[in-house]
Amino acid sequence: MYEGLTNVFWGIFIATFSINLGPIKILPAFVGFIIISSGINTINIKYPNDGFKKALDFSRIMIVIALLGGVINIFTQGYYQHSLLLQIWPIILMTFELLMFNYFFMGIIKYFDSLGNVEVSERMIGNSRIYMIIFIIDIVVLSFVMLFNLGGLNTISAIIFVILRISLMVNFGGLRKVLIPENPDDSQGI
Amino acid sequence: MDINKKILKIGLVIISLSLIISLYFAMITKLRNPVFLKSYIDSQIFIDNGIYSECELILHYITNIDDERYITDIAFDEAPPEMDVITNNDSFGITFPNFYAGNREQVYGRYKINTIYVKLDLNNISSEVEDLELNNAKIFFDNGDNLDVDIGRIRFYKYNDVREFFGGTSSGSSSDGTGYISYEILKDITLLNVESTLLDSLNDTVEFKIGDKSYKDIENMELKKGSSINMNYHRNFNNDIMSQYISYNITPKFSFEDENGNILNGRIREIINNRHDFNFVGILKYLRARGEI
Repeated sequence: MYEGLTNVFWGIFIATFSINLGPIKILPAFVGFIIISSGINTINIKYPNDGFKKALDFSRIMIVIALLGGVINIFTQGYYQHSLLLQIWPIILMTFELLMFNYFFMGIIKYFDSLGNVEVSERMIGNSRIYMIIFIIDIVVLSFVMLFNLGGLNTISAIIFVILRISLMVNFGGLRKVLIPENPDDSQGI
Repeated sequence: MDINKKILKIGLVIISLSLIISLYFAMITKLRNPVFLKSYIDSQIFIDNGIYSECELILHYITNIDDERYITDIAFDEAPPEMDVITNNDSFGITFPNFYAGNREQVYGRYKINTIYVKLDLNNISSEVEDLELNNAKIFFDNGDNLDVDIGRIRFYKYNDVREFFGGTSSGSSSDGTGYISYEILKDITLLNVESTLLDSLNDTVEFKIGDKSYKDIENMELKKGSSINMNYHRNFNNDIMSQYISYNITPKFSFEDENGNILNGRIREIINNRHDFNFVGILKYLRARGEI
């Protein structure tokens, strides 16, 4: 679990801080998604549950979508920048991301419920709710903004998106501190 | 957890709805063809003078934001064969103090305002210029498309030297479409009338006054040597969006009688506006009013 969460943390970091604010460049964010996926996989193998399984499926879809988006970007090189397809692409990507992290949260909540750690699972329920609501509003705003080409709101949406990613890193990274060391003999150095 | 599940479901529905609405809007506001703003222009020709005559036009046209074509050529339907047309995507390097040309391409929402500069070479015109009027043009694009457009009314007039009667010209204009023109009268004359067919077609948009009378009401106005004649014009800011996107450069014609009874013609220069304040909503309204979307 600790390892898995670390992978997810760094995956999100890479996926976020290689994105340009503005026309959203998706490559090489897909590398970040590969790492996230491997993190979820590690967790799912050891503690399988519904949430983790669905999160894993979505994470694999994300890798494909992000990769496709990156490839399309290279080939069009900005020529079709304003075509409808390329403007919808980030919205589809973000919606799948919303689903992936939502299921991941659900997996975490179920895991801590099973451990009997109600405090953490309640906290995660609250955090995931806020995350979802803000993300949904962000996606809706972005879908109008991208199609109407309103420059200023575009940037605000992108900034909110980055803040959401950072909040995820804080949430998942912070969870590691709660975990009981799996092997009491290892010095964890958390 | 159940609340979260509900929120997720509702969220996905809202996202799909907003996507569908945005896509729908993007599709219905798509232009089939570029839309050209109309121009109402009086252009001067020097005939038999040896002075180089040309007419410079700045044409604005609206396209979709993803329209990457550019114009390679323009042909005017009514132009005589001896009139040469040169087009350029950048201004010809001449600064136009009375024209605000702006950037070549300006983006507003899902539309782009493009500008093309056209020079008409008028040196070989022999036909009766005052009957000549250009209304329709065929536009050629770089990918082979062509388009027939109504560009407004472009008229021509022969330069007539009446400087011995009028001197001390001063004029000024501001970006809101108002301006003044004033001449000092050097000899006694009687101003018989003032006419302009372009101003007549634009009477909802532009108001032109001489003294405090409309130009149409001028009849046998006596002007003494040493006095000055003050004229002003302004653009009516009515709610008609169509009138806001018109470019004009109008020189009304006036006829006057000198002290010997000769009747002469002159031109009042220039009632002008090539400045537009574009914004996405305004462009939408304009395109709607023209029936393009």
